[in-house]
Amino acid sequence: MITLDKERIFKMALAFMKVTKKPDEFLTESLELGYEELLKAADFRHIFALSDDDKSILPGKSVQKHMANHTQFYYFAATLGQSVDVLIKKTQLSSMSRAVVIDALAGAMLDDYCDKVCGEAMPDTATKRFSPGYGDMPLSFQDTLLAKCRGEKLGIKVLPSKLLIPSKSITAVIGV
Amino acid sequence: MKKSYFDQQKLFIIDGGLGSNLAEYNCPPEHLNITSPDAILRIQKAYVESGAQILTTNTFGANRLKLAKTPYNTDGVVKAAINIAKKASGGKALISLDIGPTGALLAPMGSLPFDEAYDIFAEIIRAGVDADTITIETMTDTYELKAAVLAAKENSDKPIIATVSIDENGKLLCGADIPSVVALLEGLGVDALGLNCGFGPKQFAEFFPLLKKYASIPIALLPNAGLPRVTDGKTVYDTSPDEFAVQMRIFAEEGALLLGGCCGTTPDYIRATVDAVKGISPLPLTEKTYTVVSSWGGSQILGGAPVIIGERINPTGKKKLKKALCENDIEYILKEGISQSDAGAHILDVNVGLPEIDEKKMMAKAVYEIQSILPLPLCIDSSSPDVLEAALRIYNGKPIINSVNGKQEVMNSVLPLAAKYGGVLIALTIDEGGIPDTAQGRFEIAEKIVNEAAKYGIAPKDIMVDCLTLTISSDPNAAEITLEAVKMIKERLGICTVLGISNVSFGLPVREKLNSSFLTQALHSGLSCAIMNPLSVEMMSTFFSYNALHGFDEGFTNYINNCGIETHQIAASEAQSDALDEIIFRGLKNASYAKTKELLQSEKPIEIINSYIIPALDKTGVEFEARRIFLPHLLAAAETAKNAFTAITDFVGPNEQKGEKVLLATVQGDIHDIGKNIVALLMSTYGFDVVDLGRDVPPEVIAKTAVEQNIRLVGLSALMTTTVPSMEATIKALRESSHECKIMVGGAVLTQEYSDAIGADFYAKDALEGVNYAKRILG
Repeated sequence: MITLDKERIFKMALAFMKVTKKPDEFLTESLELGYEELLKAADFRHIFALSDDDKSILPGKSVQKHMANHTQFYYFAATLGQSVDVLIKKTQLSSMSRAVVIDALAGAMLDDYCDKVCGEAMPDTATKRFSPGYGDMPLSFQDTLLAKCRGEKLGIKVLPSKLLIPSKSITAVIGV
Repeated sequence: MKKSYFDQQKLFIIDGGLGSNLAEYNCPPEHLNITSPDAILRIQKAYVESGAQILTTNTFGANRLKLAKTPYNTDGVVKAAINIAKKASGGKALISLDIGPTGALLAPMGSLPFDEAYDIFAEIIRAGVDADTITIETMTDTYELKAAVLAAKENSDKPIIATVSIDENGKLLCGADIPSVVALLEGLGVDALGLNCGFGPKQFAEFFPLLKKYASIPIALLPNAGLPRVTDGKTVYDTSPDEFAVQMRIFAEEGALLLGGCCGTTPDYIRATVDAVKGISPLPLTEKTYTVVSSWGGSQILGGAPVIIGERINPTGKKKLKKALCENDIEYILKEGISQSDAGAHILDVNVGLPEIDEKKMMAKAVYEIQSILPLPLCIDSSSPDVLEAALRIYNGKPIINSVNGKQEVMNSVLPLAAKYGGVLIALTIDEGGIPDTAQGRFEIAEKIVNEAAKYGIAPKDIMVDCLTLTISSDPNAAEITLEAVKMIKERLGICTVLGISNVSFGLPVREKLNSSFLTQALHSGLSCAIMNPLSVEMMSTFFSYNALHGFDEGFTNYINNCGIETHQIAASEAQSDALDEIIFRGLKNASYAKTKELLQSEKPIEIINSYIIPALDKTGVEFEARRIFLPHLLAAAETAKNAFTAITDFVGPNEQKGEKVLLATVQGDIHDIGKNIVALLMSTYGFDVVDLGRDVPPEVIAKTAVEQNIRLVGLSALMTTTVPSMEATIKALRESSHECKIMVGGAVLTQEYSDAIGADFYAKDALEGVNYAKRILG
């Protein structure tokens, strides 16, 4: 079982909301409440697939640079699941303020979850995650990447606009 | 229950996972029907030789979404696949048309409309007319499953085998559990249901008992050859054919009727299974008597712990809801749903019947929208069969159908709907002779309905009797008769009952006291479902107390949490001692309505707006810009101000003079709209009349609306670089319409440069900037 770093998630969420001060009572309470609700809703899933492709398949100069010292790489996908999207949508109707906090927290939680599972499964020498949309790696690579790691098994889909659904989902490559 | 095609005379052996035999081809397996038919023929022949009696066609992904951008089409691929299968079978095996998921996620969670998913499946089914049966498999979303089954039922008369793929918690990706899958599929009338893919037979063994507990129809099990692992770049499975077959034999002995395999199950696995199950005769089917309703997010079992059906989405006697329905204000309905769900309702009644509106359209919309945010099962409530059908068709799950009664004409029109779509029917004990004034009379009508329903194949478990609550103010014995009838139904018919509780006190003062007492007595008489107002603290206390006293509240969690609601209300009233502007600035949502109401006793509405609400909003804006408070604070203040405005509207009536219109939309291709919704909230707080077109809106719709409603400011939002082009197209469409308006844009990827490049008038870096721009432009 993965242990999430709540303090770090709060920090990231605050940064997403451009909060530059120490959170006041209202924000702290919103974060605590939102965190609990998210843990109830989230259905954490991830998948790794060691690639048998040559890294030259990865489009863009920036990812090539990122992988310069590595020959092999993993395809990776992770998601918090559909219920988190429903929670954010539903909360917008009862409190937009809380919805904004939950949305930020969910993004942060996904990031922390990915860090934890990658930290556990990948060797110390592995690169950081590199996702379509970073640098010059096109979003259009999303489809290939997801197919390569069978991300559809996690319920992740790519829309024609290259948005991922559920919205709190990630795809990436990791050099090892 | 209608008779299944797969009678229990013998076991059926289905073939194994075709796709995993074709990995070496490195292309979608369906293409091989055209490019390498011999390869498919060879494998399918091997399955027939190994003893498979049902051969599934190589058409898992033969839908038009997956075949787009290939030289192939559904019709060609499906027909070719059936020809190959027939050749392989040589008359020895049945041919089953295989249908997998579309690959897209259905709206509202995703973007594929239900009707389009239906069309996609219907196309495959029509092309596969020459198959003997239809296999719908590997489904992970109940909505898509329903679209596929409905398409099969309406475009073919072939038997249907429908199987889903579950996770380690026994759930589909959409959140539905096994009882809800069984309820949905039996309701739709498939011939066999079960599980495929995901895991090996060992893991299936964990969930088979649950499937067996609820299913009254034949069960199909098609596990993988164990769990996969990658060795030397190849996927291999950890269960051998013999190990696989040992477990399949156990399934057969314990009552599974159709046995086959999924990923990794080569003909060897099927041969081993055939050998292992030799000599086993199928167990007879047993009709299960659980009354289950469901939605995409789970199931609700009726007849055990009592259940609350929230009554508030019903315009009878509700002015605000009537107004919301007339104005197409779905948000109001959704909020009614959320508050009832939060208060503890298990199911929501949805009735939108008003003579002024198109009830059918509104019902379908309300059901769809409620299901996009709440996982609770719904009770679809209308006196019009047309309206019921529109909702039953698009409902995701197995709902309650409210209602049928003992009148022959009503039974003739409603029972076929329940038989076709599935659902638990509420049967009102009234007929051509009116409402009997004895318990026996009401019992007899219930019995009549149960018998009539049986003619349509509707089982008694799918009927819930409403013995009708009449007010005691017109007949002092009314409650007694109703309670007596509830007891009789439970004892003699053994099926569920439901009552609208609050009618009992009609015409009398302090109604909640009577309602609560009646609720206790009805529950004690064996009532399964209470239609009531879950926002009534007194009623809920009664309900939770009853449950606590009768062992239905483990750890007394609900009882204790229910007390918590009262504590919360006290906290809200304490905050009222603050001044209204302070309440708004601090975002104390619960306090602002009551405080404003209090102020209205001594001050004029305009004074309250000018001396408290506007200054508080201004202060919030200044503090936000100075970064002393942040987005959540700004929004909490806006919502609190809105509550204050609501209090004023409730006091003086709605403000007929609306503010200047602002059109907001998230552009086509983009389905994440939280940013746009933030702007909408702030705009409406500042008095603008927001025309919100929602998400994924085509350019022409935006342009047309702006022109038709003469809107002078249009705000567009886009989240991704990939959707900025559709923002640009929208701006172009607006400019070409030569309608005079300003266009502002915002969203995660937007910048001033981007905004200039696509020809917007203004780039708003945050929501407040947008509002300030609107104030400048529209003043």
